[in-house]
Amino acid sequence: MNSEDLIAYLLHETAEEERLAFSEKWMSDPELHEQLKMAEAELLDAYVREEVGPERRRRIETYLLGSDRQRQKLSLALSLHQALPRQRATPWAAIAAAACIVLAGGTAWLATENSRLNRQLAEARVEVERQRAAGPTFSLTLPNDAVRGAERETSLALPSSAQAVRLELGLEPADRSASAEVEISLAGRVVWSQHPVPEQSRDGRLAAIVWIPSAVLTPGRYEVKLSSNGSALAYYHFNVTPRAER
Amino acid sequence: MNDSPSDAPARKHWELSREALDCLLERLDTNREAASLLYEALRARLIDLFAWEGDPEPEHLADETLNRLARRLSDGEPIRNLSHYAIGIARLVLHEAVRSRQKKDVALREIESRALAPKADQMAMEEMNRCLQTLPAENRDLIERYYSGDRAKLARSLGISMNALRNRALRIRERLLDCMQRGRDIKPGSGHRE
Repeated sequence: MNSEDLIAYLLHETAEEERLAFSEKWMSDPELHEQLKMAEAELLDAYVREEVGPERRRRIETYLLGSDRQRQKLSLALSLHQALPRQRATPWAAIAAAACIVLAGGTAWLATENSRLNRQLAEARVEVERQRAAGPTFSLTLPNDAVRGAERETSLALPSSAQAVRLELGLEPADRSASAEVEISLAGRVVWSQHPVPEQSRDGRLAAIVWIPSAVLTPGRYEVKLSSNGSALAYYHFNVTPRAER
Repeated sequence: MNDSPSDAPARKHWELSREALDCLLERLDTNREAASLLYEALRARLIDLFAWEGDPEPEHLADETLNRLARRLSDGEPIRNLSHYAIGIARLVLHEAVRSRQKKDVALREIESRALAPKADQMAMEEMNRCLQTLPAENRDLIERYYSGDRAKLARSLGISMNALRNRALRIRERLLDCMQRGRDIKPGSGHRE
């Protein structure tokens, strides 16, 4: 039994008959049960490290995070990830790329930057659309206000089945901070705060990650303030529209 | 020999009796202590079975399955393979649970939901660090190296296979999970609502 077969079982990627046969097999084979538990732990590790693709991410949220028990396992993976971060190699490629951009001059840099920001905006809009079809946990990517422009704001329509929202706050490298904290306010009142705030880097883009119970997000316009040692690093805004029934 | 449970109705008010539990334990092992361990192992597998089906109450459904299994045995139903039979019951229990939940008011479910998203905030991190400190030094060192470094290199340095290393890491994770759950029971909450 290879690890992909185990993952396929855990994520309901196999046919129902095959799944039933495999359930019978592992229920009477303690070693296979152990293998499944290891595969599950590694899937959750990969999930918190942002190392799974969008389809598997959705399946993990649908099938592996359905109970308090399972969410506690995820919480453990998240705490482990933060307490024991994986050592990373020096990002020489990124440093070299940055150096090339500087050498190529300001015009080229602006063109690249514009294109990147446009891509971020487009992705943010796609993300909102994607939420309509997603499972009980939602992801929302928010570009920093300073790079987005005040006229464009992300709207979030949470279905009633939503239990949690995962915000990805776009970060500029200069905004990175080991002691960052987030405050989320509605009409000037702080409704949620988190400290510290984990970061992720994907496709060369940085984001701060915040999880919020969806029950906190009543309809309205929210301001997200990312700060460090009392100084604001970035602001983000999003609208929550009345809940959509699913 | 009957090895697949029938979907017999009218068992909703049945409660597990001492006699039925004895029947199940006796079937697991004639030695009571060994039977208790086997019972717990079967319960753990059933919990995982339901949890991996995405059910919100895997422990409750596992207990319901074991109760029905005990009842079948005490009724004298011939069961050849206990694990396979338990899966048969588990499927019925799961099916009933899904149907029952579909009838519930969606809004009510939302209120009932205790589901706060996982968040590794300061308290959770402190709890994790506290739990890491409760581990024997050897285990703490292993889990730190497992998550922070090169796993293949770690396995080689310990003279064990990668699979054995993964298994050891899983055992330590389970201890940490248990420690964090106990800590959470004492001090609920992690991220905070203002």
